[in-house]
Amino acid sequence: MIGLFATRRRLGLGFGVGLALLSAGCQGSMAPPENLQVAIATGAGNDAVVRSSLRQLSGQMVQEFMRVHPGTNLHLRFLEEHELVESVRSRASLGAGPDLMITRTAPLARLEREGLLRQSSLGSNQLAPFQIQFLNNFRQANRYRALPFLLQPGLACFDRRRLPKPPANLDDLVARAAEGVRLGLPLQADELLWTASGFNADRPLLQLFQDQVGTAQAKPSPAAAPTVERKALTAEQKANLLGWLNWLYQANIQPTLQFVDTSDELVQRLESRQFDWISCNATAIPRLKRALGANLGVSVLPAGNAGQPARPLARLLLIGFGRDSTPSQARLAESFALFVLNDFSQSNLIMKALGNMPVNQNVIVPVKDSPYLAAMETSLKSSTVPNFNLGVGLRQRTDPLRQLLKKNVYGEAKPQAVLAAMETLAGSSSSTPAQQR
Amino acid sequence: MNQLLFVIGGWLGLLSRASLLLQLLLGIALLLGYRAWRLRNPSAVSWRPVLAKLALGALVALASLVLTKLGWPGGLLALLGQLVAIWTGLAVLRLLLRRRLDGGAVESYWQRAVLPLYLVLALVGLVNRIDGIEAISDVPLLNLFDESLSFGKLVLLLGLPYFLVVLSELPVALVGGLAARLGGIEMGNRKAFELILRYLLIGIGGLWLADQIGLNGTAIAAIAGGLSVGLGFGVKEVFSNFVSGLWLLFEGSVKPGELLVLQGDICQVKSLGLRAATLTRSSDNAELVVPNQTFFTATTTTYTGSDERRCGTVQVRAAYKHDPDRVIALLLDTARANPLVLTDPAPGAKLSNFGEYFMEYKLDFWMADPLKSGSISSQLRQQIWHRFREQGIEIPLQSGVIAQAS
Repeated sequence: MIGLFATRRRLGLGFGVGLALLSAGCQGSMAPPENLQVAIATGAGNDAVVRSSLRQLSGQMVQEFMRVHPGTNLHLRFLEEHELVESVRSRASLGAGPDLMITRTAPLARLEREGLLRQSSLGSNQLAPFQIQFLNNFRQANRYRALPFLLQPGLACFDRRRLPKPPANLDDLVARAAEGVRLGLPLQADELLWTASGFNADRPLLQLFQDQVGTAQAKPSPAAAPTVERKALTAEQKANLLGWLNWLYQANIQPTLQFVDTSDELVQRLESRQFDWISCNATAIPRLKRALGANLGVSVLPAGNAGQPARPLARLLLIGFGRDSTPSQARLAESFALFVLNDFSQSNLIMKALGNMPVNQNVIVPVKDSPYLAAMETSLKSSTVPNFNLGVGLRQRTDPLRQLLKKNVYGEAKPQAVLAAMETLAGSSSSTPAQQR
Repeated sequence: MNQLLFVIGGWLGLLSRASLLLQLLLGIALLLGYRAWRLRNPSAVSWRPVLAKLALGALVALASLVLTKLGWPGGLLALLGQLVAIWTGLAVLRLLLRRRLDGGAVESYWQRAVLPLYLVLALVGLVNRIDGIEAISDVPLLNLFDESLSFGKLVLLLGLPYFLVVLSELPVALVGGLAARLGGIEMGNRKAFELILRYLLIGIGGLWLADQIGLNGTAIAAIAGGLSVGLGFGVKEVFSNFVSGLWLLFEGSVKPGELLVLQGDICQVKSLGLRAATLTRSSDNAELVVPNQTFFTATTTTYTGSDERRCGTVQVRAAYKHDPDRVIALLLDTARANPLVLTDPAPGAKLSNFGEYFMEYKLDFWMADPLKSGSISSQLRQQIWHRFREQGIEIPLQSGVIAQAS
């Protein structure tokens, strides 16, 4: 028994010394590699090929960064967008949250509200050379809450064999449907915003759900954006919204114009030739190109009937920084952010990952070489780009808004009733944070 | 392998974070404190260690709470607290089971199944919280039959068979017990049913495992081909014994609990394994490990095939001067007086032979427990000797000298 005691004591001592050496080694002169945890959730969906190519591209970028910064190890974790917040929350509760996150605006806004992000210590002078678009949307005092990374504009995708020329405006869209062209639209408010822009109803809709950020947080972080008060809709704005809702109802009367639940379903049905034209995000281009080949047509979305260009809500990938990093990890995370924002990386990204546009304005997009890039650039010029206050509310209300829109397009509720329900949803949701989870 | 080390290296990198390191050190300190107490109090399974575990859990939870109140992450300690709470719950269950069931069996199952399973699940839970289990389970290690074998699949391949064999024991015993209670199945059949059910579970688990690791049809065909050659030469006997064991179970001719005559001795089948059956010899309590094939190829005498009763015989001699009717009545009376002799079928006695100087009688009797044949025969012989002495009946000696038993 005494021998057993002695053995166990020796083991315990050895373990303690080992741990001490390990922890000393992590910060000491032995200089082990610095490890950086990166979580990526770009909302690539269930497309295995897109996911695989995203992993490959990210892997290449990481290899290049590690070549430039020897002695660093970057650990990438690819997550589904809906998993990201829970995963980061869970890891951060241990103190093991990722050092850097790349995701779309809505999840990052949620993470910021929960106090799981820290502001970047990168100053304007460090970022200025890259001429980053929309950077100031994320500025707070002299710091940045997140850094824009890539833009993914909304577009129209169609099968050229069935539709040589895409519809130019909303009336044309309905007219094509009446001619028998099979058209598909998503019942997602954020993806459908461009149709509202044809009635000048996009701003009122964004305004209605604008106050979601900053008010629905039980414990707002000190870093969180100041609350934006939701203003009541004016009579004109209500009229515009009613006009849009009425158009949605009228459009659905056309048998060949169908509303489906998600934009992913739209892409699937264009791939399988069940639709001839859909509204899509630029990230769907590689997938559709594989299915339709040279028959894939891509254009800007139909304009409003008064001729104003459609204002879709573009997707914006952001870089956020975790709160648990050590100072050296934080520095390394910012170095990586600067690396992926530089001219080389951004240029490389848009060429290798079709569907993405650079935020670095030094990068010249070769629009003459690719009609897809040309359409994307044109679309971006009129797009609404989300930030932590704008567009996030719509994204977070996807499911309840879908139900309301569904009732509207199937005539189960009058546009007035739907609008009233939307106002209630916007009002109630701002006072009941639990609904947002 | 490099990728696996890369992932683990990333976790070690997390140790440079003061908040995580602090939690880890606090957790280790508390666990070591508990361990030191256990080493000083190496009592058997009792309520004291359970209370100590409760105290440990409370301290860990308190430490987590304090850190959280101070604005530091305390999730690692909270996770440790949850693991301690589960372990305490299991310890309580262990104590309760020891009271109701066979303590040795509970301990054996505990050490072989519950403890390893708990440790594996705790480790998986910890890794999942830190980095997501996919981070390590998806790491490719090597190629097996043109399929990439990831670390997760390798762990499944190595660990699942063990847990399948060990963990299947309890549910199978429970189902067997339930079947015995509802269907009135006798013990031997129950054991056979349990064994078949267990093989079935292990087989299904094996198929599931093959599916999980992505073993394709070609690979299975290759394995089957290799096995055929192996079975033909090297492991023929093993396979023959395995098939014999399965066949015997289905046939029901050799079941656990069965009484067989092996090399002239009555033996009870203790268990029927994959390769061999274990028998207990009643005469000297020795355990015999008999290859299953033996029962398949040789004639087997059983006392428990369709009827567990056994017929025994005691031969006795008496002098010519005694009336055979009186001797037979005395023998029958003696047999009826023994409580271990069955009344139905009734015992029978007969004059079996005329010797040179004696008449030979046979007493046939039935007993319920074949294993007690020897002891019942002995009892009857003693009782006959006493009754003959009381009634003045002589048992002639071989020398021809007539002597009164005294």
